[in-house]
Amino acid sequence: MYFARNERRTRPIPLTPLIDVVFLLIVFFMLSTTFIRIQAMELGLPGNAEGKGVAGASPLLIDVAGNGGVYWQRELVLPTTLRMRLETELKRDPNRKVLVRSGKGITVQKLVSVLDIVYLAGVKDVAVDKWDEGDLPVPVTPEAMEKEDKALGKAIEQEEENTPVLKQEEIDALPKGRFTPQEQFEDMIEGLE
Amino acid sequence: MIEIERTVKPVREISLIPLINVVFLLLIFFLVAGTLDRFEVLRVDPPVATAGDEVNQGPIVVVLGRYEEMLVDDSLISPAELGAEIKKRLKVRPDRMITVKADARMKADRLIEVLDDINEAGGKTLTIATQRP
Repeated sequence: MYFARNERRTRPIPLTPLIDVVFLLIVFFMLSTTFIRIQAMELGLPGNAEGKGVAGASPLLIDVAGNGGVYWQRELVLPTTLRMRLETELKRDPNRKVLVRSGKGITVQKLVSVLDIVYLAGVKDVAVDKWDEGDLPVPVTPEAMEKEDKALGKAIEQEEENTPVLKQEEIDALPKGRFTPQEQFEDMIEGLE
Repeated sequence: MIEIERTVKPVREISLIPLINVVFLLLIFFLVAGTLDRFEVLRVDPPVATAGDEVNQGPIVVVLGRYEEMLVDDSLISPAELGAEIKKRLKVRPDRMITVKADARMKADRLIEVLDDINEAGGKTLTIATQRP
């Protein structure tokens, strides 16, 4: 006797539900992931350093004024100059402290940009403080320069007046020596001969 | 009359396998390359800086919004309460790191005042959050 087997046709697995789910997952991850990485900068405050007792080297002063100017030790500088000067200072003393003072009305971004330069130069110990711009350096005017020149000239004149003038016999009494390059060269040639 | 037989092309289904391959690749890319964002109560835009280390956010996070709103660990507080809140959190472990996440457009004066307050309350390790350009 022959029973007809009902042969099932092998149908392919439907992929549409799988694709639905996978697309949903993709949309979820696209919307919820961020590629911004939050970083952090360590900061000190001037009050923090008191207990450590690092006497001697006072902190290097960097002022950020409300008008956007950056002052290095009370001298207006460009950001690139600031970094160069910091690096020069650090070569002398790698553990030098820096105090950044923020002026009136500057934004956090401006302050952090200056701190960024300080950190990139390799400074490890940075403190921040408020600054009321009370001691903002006065810009140098031609009149002020002329006045300073005059004062300097007077000081030089004074110095010259105070320097004793030697008489001829006093000069003759000074120890003799051959000090000029010409004399030294002649001595050397003599020695070789 | 001559009958020309037409060649009937069989209608094949569009193959879905390459599509699935690509979609899976995209899925894996987003899974690996991105990081899931923590839900932020207050959206702030940290200042841009190239220096700074990639660190985990400190256990204590103080958020300062653009309009000087203040949040400590996601709860809104008034500036007068800051000292007490910090002290409370530092009681068990006084050396806990404190991260201040301030908006880039905020006034720096206010940030420094807040840092001073935290310092007075006993916070020793202070960091400010930045982001890469």
